[in-house]
Amino acid sequence: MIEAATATLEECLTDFRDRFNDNARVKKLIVGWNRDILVEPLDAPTAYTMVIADLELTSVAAGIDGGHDGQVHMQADEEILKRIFTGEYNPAEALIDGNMAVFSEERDKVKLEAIAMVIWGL
Amino acid sequence: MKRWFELLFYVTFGAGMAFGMSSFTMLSGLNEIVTGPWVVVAIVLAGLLCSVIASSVAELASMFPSSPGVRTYLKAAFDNRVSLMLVYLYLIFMVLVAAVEAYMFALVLGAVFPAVPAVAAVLGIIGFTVVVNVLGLELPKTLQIVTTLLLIVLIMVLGAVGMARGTQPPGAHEGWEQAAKVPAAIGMAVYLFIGFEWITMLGMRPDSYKRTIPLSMPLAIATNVVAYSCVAFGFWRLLPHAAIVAGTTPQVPYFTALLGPGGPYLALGISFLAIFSTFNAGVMGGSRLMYALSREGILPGWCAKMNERGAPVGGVLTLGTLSALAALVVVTWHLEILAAVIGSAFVCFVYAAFMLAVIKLRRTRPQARRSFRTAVPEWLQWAVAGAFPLLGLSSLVSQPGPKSIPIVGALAFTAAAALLTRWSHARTEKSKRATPYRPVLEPEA
Repeated sequence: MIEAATATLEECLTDFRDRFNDNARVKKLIVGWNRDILVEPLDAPTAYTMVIADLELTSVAAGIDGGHDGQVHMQADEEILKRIFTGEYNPAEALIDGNMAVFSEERDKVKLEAIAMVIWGL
Repeated sequence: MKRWFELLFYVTFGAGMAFGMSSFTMLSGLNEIVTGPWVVVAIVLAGLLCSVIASSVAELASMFPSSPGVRTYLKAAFDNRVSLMLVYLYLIFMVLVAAVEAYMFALVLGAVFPAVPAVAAVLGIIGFTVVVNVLGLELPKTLQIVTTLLLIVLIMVLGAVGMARGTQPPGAHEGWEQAAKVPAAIGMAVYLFIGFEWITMLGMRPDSYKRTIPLSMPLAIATNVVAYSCVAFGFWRLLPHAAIVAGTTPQVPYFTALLGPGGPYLALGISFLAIFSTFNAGVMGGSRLMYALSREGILPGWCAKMNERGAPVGGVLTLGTLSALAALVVVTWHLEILAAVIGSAFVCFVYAAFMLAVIKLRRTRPQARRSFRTAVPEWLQWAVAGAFPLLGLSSLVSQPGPKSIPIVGALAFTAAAALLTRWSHARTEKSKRATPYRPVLEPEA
């Protein structure tokens, strides 16, 4: 079990990718939902892009190219992002606390929260 | 997405959220307080005041982009209980508006199909909205823009035609003697613009909060000022005053006077356009707010239930059920104006709290990241924050009839909000689930 306190953001995202792809209920949630998830820490230099395509989270790669359709852009402090992607902090709570910003369609925000609930049982 | 398209989407969303069926009801209500050009004066002044509020909301949104504003802004600035109280008042407002909107839809439907009972129409439209949201269906952006533009342009054109063709002489008491009643009318007219702040949750990219969203809110308000003013002038020139205030759907006699027997059909068409934007987005947004509050531990867990389509079904069903119950009460006792006025008064308090939140956060978190700063001077922010609750209270007692009824109604809802606040605060304290606000976005960009 990876922990936010000791892992890097990339390790947290890679671990999240594995949990995402291993979860059958997540696949039901993301039917027809192909998105680029941009994960941008506000206090660290490296941002990441996760690609969801054909019911798989196919890649976690450094670098982002924002401003396009079909993207979900997340911004927060790196520690917050690590806690979110290790299941220690619900993204809905992070939003309401003002600790994270998500730039996307409203439905995509709901979808992300639903995925977090399914993966982490939050 | 092109910048101009993004701006157009925000403006039409904000204008569409505010322009509902109950807007006509409030125009009728405004004519109970003042008449003729004074209605337009109240609309313009309310629009200006809302633009000042919008500027403060834009600054808060730039601090907390994409967040569920009413909870996040007030939680960051004030004590948890103050924030909760205002959030509950806002939720009560949403339920009351949904009830009034549904009833107004039923009345217009009844003008075309008299055999359809109002209760069936009310439950039908609320049920339809709930099903759409549970299924996770959403209007494409282009369609949302087109329907709202069609609605606004139609209203402006029909208002202009009414002005041109109207022959009603000015009333006997439409001079300066009505000026004293304008403040109460402004409090009521604020209702016509409520919803512009929902734009702040929709930012498509980080830099939307620098210019596009701060610009889109006053543009949405200005659009509605022009549309409401056109139709208010049209009412004044075309209909006798008694006909404007006789019912809560003055658009039906107005369109009938303009178009003959086809008028009610046009009114029904406009109802569908209005309901597309206000009703559906309201239930969706409200259910997301309830979902977020549940995740915070403030509301029971079942309010956060999601279905396999990722729709917040718990929040949708809760809000839909409360709206249906409120609508049944409104239909049974014809409380539409009362419900709208009480809701408007509550939002006046919430808007005042937004202004105070900006002032307080500038002092307590001066270095926090803000991609937009309101240009409104602090003395004016204080003045507007002080004036809004007074405007809300004055609109409560502005309608003809016993003044005690709206006051008792508002007090009853306030007591309910206070009880819910106490309950929610105890829940969060007990479970320790409430995460204190942590200023991780504190450092200057």
